[in-house]
Amino acid sequence: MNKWLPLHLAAMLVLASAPGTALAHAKLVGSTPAANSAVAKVTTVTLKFSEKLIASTVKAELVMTGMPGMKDHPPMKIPFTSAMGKDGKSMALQLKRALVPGTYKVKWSAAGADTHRMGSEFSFTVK
Amino acid sequence: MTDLLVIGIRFALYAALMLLTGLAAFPLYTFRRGARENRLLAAMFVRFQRWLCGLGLLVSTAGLVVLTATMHGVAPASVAPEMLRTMLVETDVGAAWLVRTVALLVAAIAAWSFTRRRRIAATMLAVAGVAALTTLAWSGHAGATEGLTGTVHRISDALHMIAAAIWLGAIAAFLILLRPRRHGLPPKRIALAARSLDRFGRVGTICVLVITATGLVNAQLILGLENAGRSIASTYGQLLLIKLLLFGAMLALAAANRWRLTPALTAASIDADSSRAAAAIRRSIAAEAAAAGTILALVAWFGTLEP
Repeated sequence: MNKWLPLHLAAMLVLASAPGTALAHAKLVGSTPAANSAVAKVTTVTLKFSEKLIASTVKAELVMTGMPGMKDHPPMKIPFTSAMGKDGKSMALQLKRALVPGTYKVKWSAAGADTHRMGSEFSFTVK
Repeated sequence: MTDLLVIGIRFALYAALMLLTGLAAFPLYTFRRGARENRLLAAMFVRFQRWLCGLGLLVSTAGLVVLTATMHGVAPASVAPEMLRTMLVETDVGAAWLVRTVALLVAAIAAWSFTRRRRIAATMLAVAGVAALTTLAWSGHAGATEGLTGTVHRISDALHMIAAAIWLGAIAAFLILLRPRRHGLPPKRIALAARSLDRFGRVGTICVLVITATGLVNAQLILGLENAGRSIASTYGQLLLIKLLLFGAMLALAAANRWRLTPALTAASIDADSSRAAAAIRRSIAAEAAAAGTILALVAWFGTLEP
């Protein structure tokens, strides 16, 4: 059995030195406007992610969910052109014109290098 | 539905590549290079290996299409060529698929040119099989670990699969050798099986040691051994535990084969009637194969779960 000693030593070394690593799923780490914030003059919505996303897998949606003075406002899709950041970790939704006052919801989903499709949503208010 | 498809594809892919590699390696370590038995065995296995190459290429490609679909959030039927191109260029999984395809094509060429250039073909098959198997390290949890730790994880994962492939290939080889015939197995065949079984003993021990060591490394990198107690609560942990129990059962069967049934077969193969000893070890190896198949199914399943 002695000739297997190096193998076992190597295994023990790896076991001792490497921490139990967490797997890297992509998640939203920040945005402008920030989630649940109230802001004015929004022409760009920027999303920041924890991992590099694969561009072709990215889907994003911006809907207006409420308007001041209008009850039961049906969700309305807002058109935009999207562009990925150079590092692949951010995305900008460029709007044709500044958002009118109201509440908005952003939904995104995409896959990172770990091949898992992730997604979430957040809301913000335009004053 | 897609989950079940993914698990089915993973199972078929692991099984095909492991059997392909294991069967190719078998004649290389059981007998001397160029020995008569060596050629006899390789010729017996090549028929299966041709099928395994085809199956491997098919499920590997199906796997890429299904993964592309889930990553893009569309149905597998609506995967566009452009999406596949993105996968090949931008992801490690896509690059791994490309290498695997080349390796399997090389293996297929070797398997089909076998009758003409036996020695080169046999070595080529084994090397291409090992290469194809190694690419699978990018398709599981090991593919997601980053940096130097990621490299260690993938090397460990690849060694784990290669050792398992050699064990599984040997099980398949013995079942092919001891396949029952209508008029009983010829004594020559039983003697060949007994000698190969005897030679496999050492290699089998090495496989078990490598599987155990790399299994521990993988467990540390995916779970963290200090979390082992807690992970029993998750489906991942429970399936892993069943896998370990089946591994234990395989060890017990392998020990019985090595120290009890193989000597009995060797002794019987000298006598006139060895069919009973052959049937006994065949039953034991079939049970080992069933446990191995279940382990592969479990791996295909819990590899897709969050640890």
